[in-house]
Amino acid sequence: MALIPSSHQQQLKQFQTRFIEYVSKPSVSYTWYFFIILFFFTLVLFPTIFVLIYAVLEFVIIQSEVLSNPTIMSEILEALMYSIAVSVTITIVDLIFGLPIAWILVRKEFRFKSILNSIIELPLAVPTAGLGFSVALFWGVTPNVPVKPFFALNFVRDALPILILFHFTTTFPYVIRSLAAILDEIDITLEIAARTCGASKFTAARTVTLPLFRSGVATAMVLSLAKSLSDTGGAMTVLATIGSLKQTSTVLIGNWKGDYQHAIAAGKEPLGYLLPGMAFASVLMICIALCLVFLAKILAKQAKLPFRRVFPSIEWRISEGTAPQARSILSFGFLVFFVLIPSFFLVLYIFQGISIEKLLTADWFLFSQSILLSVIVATVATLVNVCLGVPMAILITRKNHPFSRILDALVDIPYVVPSAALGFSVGLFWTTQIIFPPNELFFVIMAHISMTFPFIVRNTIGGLAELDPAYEDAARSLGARPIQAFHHVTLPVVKFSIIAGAIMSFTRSIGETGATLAVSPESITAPVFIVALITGAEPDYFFAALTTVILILISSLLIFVLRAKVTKKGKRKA
Amino acid sequence: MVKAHIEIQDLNKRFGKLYAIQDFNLEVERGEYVVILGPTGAGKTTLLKLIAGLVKPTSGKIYKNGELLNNIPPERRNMAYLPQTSDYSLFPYMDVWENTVFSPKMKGDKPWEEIIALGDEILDLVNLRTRYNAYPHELSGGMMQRVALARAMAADADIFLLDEPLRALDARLRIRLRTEIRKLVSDLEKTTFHVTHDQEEAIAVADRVLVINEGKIVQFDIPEEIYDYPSTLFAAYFFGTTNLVLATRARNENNGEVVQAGEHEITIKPKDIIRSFDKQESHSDEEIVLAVKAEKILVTPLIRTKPESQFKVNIFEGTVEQAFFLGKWANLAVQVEGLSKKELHVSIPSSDLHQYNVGTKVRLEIPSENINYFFEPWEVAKRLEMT
Amino acid sequence: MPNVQLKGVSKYFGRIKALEEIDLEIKEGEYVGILGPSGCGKTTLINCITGIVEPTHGTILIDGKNVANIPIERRDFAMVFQSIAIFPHMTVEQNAAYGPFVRNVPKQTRGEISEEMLRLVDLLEQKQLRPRSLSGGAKQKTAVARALANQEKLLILDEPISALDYKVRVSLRYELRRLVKKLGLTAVHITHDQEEAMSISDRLVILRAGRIVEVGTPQQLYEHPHTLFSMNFVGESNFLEGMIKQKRAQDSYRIEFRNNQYIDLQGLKGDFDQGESIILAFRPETMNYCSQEEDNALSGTILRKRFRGGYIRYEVKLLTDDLIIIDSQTLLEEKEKIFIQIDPYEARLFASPEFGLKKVLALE
Repeated sequence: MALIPSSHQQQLKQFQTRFIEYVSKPSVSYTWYFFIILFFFTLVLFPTIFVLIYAVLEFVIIQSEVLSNPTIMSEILEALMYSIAVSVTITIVDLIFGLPIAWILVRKEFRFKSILNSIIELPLAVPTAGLGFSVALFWGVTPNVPVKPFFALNFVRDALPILILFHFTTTFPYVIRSLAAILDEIDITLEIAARTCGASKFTAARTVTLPLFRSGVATAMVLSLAKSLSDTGGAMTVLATIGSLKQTSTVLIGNWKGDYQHAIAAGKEPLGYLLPGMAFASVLMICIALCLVFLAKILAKQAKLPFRRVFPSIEWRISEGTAPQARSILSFGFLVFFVLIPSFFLVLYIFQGISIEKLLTADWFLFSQSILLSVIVATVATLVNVCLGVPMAILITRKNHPFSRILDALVDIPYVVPSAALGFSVGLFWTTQIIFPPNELFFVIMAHISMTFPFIVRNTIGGLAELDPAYEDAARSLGARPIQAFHHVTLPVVKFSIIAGAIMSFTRSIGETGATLAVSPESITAPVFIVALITGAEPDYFFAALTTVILILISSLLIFVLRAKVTKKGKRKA
Repeated sequence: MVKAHIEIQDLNKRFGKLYAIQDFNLEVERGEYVVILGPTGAGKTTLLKLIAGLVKPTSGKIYKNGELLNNIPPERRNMAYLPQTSDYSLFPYMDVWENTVFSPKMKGDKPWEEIIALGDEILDLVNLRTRYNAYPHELSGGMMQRVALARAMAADADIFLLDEPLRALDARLRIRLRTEIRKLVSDLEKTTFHVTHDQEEAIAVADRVLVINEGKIVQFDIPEEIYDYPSTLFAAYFFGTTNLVLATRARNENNGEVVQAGEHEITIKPKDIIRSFDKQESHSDEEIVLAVKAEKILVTPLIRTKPESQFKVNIFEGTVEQAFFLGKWANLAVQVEGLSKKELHVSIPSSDLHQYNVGTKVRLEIPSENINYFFEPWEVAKRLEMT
Repeated sequence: MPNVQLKGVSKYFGRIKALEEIDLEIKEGEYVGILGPSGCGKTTLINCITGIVEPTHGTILIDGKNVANIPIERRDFAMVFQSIAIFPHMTVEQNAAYGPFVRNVPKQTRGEISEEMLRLVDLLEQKQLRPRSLSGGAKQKTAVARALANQEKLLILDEPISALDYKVRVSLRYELRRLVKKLGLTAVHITHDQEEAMSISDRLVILRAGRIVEVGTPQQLYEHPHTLFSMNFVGESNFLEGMIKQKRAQDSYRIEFRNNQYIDLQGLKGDFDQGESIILAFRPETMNYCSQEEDNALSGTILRKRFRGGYIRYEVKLLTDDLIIIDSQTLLEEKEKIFIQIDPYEARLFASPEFGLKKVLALE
């Protein structure tokens, strides 16, 4: 600062004041908010559900090409049934195991708690395409994999169980985290109050905490439904690794889009059923996803949980003595065995499969290009989302307007829509529009923005909700313009949530296969590259594993750097 | 003519169908210390926020020095608002110094050297200069309170809006700090609005008390006036320890009006012409509520033979049911056979407490000029007494 | 027979000593108030008794039984919380019946118990309501009913009425004491409010910085406290710094203040030597004063007067340069000169504290 001449400093200050005055004008802030709403509706929400409009407009083609074609229909329906079966099972399994583990994580004090808390987040950094391969290696019978890793269990043959195991690995950390966060907000005094009334720990948790936890349960259910319905890359690699020919609906869309694009690239007319078929499948998936989510919410709110009766003696026995200890160890082991080991199993594979020859023959150009592309897409999408998602969150929480509530409900839609359907819809939207020149990279980025937008907004809303508006009120009345109040008072508190949202958005984007494939199969991002390696005619498992590990490293590095930055500043003050 | 510092005209604020503030009209002089008193949900905080500009009124006008404030944003009103949070809304990521100079820094109209001098001066004033680099969570409740005041003073606002500034503190500390705050802002000649639900606090610091209930002004006056001459039953009940006795009008006599309270007759006296109820049409059996402050009932142990009092009226015999020691005062709950009220609460200096045990028979005397009365249905009194 | 005994109880959180060597016995049927400024360790003390935390040292006996390692739900007591903590998803009635419910008491009996408890706290009419539609006072009454329904003999009240409005607070404290006495319970009541503590308790424990300062009946502590801290904490007081100019007899002193002001007092408790620095403390309502010059009085001028409800408070500047407060019901005028005689039976004499008066009186 001292080096800058004071006249510059003054100019800078003047500029700053003028800038603050400018943005504090009501007309400026209204324009800004209007722009954000416009952006959200036309470029995030509308493309996401564009396929619905397409389906209505082009119903005749769908009718003639799809509905009246029994082979195609049965292919679509079978894939859909598969998806539904997997995600419903997963949701139930997640809840059954998630509730007690989340409860232990929040309410119990034990030595490895903080370690466990951070370990749980690790699988989030693994791109699902690689994760699918890893899980399949651990559990599945893998006829095509040349080197069988040690310790691999190697016994699951069928597609359904392995898909369930795989999705469990991907959804469980999310479910646990969201359950724990919500559980943390339920006043522990209530449980203590119940215990002073003579309720055992188990009875207290069951009759007091659980009924208050309905919203948490609903959130967790939506989370695991949405995530398991969405996944494409993972499902593709899982199925390919065990050599199964089954398809989930996302895999179906991915494959068809591939075929379609290949045909166009080769200068041929693509098969007539492909486009309407994909549209039809996407519409069905969106409808099913929305229905399931709606159902889950109703179920969580209305379900009569068993708290009409108490069985003191049994519940005492579960709550006292060695039982709680056993339970903790059991859930800890469960987590390690079903989530952690399968997630990172491919690291073992790399060590076993490494050889100079393989490293020399690999296609390093494509490898580095794909990784670079992934990083660019994820970074741009995340930055755009932060810039636009944060004001959107402010709009929803702080502006007390009936419109805010509508926005609040709409923000989640891109999140619930399965990513393959979303990708297809966004792709369709951008190829149909005529304003922007077609650019595959741009389309992919837009698809990723739509897909990850809710993460930033949701997280920021969560952070804002925790900050009492009284701080901003005080700042305003002390003479701070709205933007100053935000910068000096709100941001320091909310930035943790924004960064958490950015991390989620980045990792989600860097690991996404389905949306990318459905928008533009030409854009070989890293996960697409991994899928191609595994599902190709001559699968290169080793290289796929290596790419995965590199992606993990990039994500973890980012998480680490952001976290470190945040905590370093936070420690001084928090 | 000197304009009022703050003037409020026909102010209304509605949330949905509910009126949080209804038909407020008031004027406050420069330098006045006004306490806004009322139960939870009365609209106290909404009123402060309306004045601060943080909430837009549904209708009505607010003036400061005769200037209409309605379209001026909060940061331009030159008021300092202290919200009601346990940490006084000190900015958690700023230390004491940064909190203190927040306002001049934001306004950006002073050179930095001047801000530094101002900050130092104010921190000296609240005795916190040595803790300039502490963060709010490292301070005790009382210190946080002082930082919040310092921050408001540095804003150089001429109006202070304090929303329950003492709520988060211990009772004893509250007693000490309330006078300290009052002294500090009065020395600086700030006009202050102080919100509380504690009537003792209100009486202790206010120039004038604005009693509000359910979004309406109940009474706006100096504490003595509200205490001794409450204009409504609510004000009478809310101040001090008040016995509400349900009665019906019976007849007129030379020395006052006689009402029937259960089996007993009580004589009440109009205190002055305006408050006389001669103006009211008299019907017997009309419901009336008597309000008597606990310290305005005279009590003596019955065993002592005492010369017949000059008052022949309003003398009752009763039994002490419970005795509570409160420090300076003690409270007796006295049961009077046949009275419409089960127990009368009577305040006595605690030095007299040794004369009264549970079960002691006592003689109560309520001088008729100590009785306030209201032509309100009994229902109203019953609702007030329900917690 | 619920009595609670604490023997040498200490609780450390890392290096912070929240409680140190607490010895306390609470007798059967006693209403004990635990009073202290925030951070004095009163919540930790309660948490040790209830089992929410385990003490670092010392033993706690309830009914003569050592309760170490017995979980909360197995210790026989009922509790009311500051945060109220009634179950938001249950009606008032279900809340009141929760204790019997988790013990699997038959439905019929359960209903009877909750009915009886709700009648006790006068909430029968609202029994079908859910907590969110209740007022603050009614919520806490529900919590009291829920606690009573356990039919334990020991009731622990953790700042039960601190979070409520002033008016509600006053009426509920009478209610609580009435209930406890009526049902013959032993009660431990934590609070930071002196008036509340004095009005409800049979015996008062004053806690400061993790240690017990004084134990006694409210009247003893108000009228004859043994420490400067209690003198200030239990109610407002005036403190005059001075020294013993002359010791005439065992309890007869001439005390000199600043500016060569002195008075003679006879009948003061405590043994002090000539030349010793002392503090003379007296409550604002205890002295005699008049506007005529009098012997052996401290003279001063009324600076300010304020109406305080049942009395008037005068701020008086003495010739000793001390500022004192006088509470009285007589009417005096501002700027008037008055002469104050100190009642030796009401005033207390303390040795001047080593680290200064301010430090000893600090409230936080």
